[in-house]
Amino acid sequence: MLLLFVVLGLGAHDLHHSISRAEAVTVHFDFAQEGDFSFQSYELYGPANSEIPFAVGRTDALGRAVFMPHEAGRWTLKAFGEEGHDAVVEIDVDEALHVRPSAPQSSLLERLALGLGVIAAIFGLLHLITQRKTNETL
Amino acid sequence: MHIPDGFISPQTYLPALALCGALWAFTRRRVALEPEQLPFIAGVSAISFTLMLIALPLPGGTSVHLGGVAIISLLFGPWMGFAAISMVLLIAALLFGEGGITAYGVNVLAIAFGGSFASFYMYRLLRRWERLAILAAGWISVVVPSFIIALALGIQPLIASEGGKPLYFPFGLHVTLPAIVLPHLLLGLLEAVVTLSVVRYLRRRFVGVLGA
Repeated sequence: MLLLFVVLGLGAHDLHHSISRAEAVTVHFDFAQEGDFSFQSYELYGPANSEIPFAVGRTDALGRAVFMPHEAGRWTLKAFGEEGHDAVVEIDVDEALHVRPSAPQSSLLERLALGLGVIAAIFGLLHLITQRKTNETL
Repeated sequence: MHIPDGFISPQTYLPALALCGALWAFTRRRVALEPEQLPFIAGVSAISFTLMLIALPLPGGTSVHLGGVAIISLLFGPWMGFAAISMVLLIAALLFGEGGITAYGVNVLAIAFGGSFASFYMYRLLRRWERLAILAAGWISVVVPSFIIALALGIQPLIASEGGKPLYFPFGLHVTLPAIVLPHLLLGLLEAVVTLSVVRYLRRRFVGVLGA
């Protein structure tokens, strides 16, 4: 009997593992080129608890944070770069525990063109206003 | 360098937004828009916007970007610099998420206000040596904002924690000051050269509009 308890007790401290295939959510961070946001810390919050993280960790060598949601709702991933370039990503998980892949963010050239267009429009408008004021005073 | 949403506590961003509001109201009285200067201000604002979009990677995974703040400040005065860069930061935040909406006030105070006034007064201090003055103005226009950003982020664990756990940005000043300011001390050298080139070129070419 004593021998049986000793054997069972020894088994209780074994760390078991299993390997399986499963669908995970991958959030990829980068600046200008791949790998820029590697090994940066992140915190993941589930829909049920925005106070205690569901997971904490660091992005991998390619700047990715990977997790497997176990419940539907909005998950929040906070990534912290020590130099102040950080991000908060909200991920909506449906009832089937699937996410809709997001479209890649607009390219640098697209953002540049849009931003310059907006600046030109604002100053064009200001120019019209100041011209009209000048004409009124003449 | 722009702070995103979620990393700055309301104790920080609400006073910052209020201070920005007061400064914008004051700017409206200090800045007179001359029609012949507007295309130049637009052009320099576009240069600033473009420089801010281009991130330069540094060893260790950090990236930095130029600002062009000193160019506007030296050519049109610090209040115009403050106004123009505030607009550039708003476009970057609203359209591209470069810097948060809640953190907008802190970003404006650091980059637009800190950068514009630090560069303007550095130039005034050294204006006897024209080139050196412009170089120093360009350099300090990124160093001062980086210092303010590092302070704003680094004090978050001190002012917004619960049970010892930071609620917002988790790293203290011992991390943020070296991580943010040191790369910008180097970046400032590049900003200085860009500022010198653009300011001298524009002043030489458009003496009547931009002055000497």
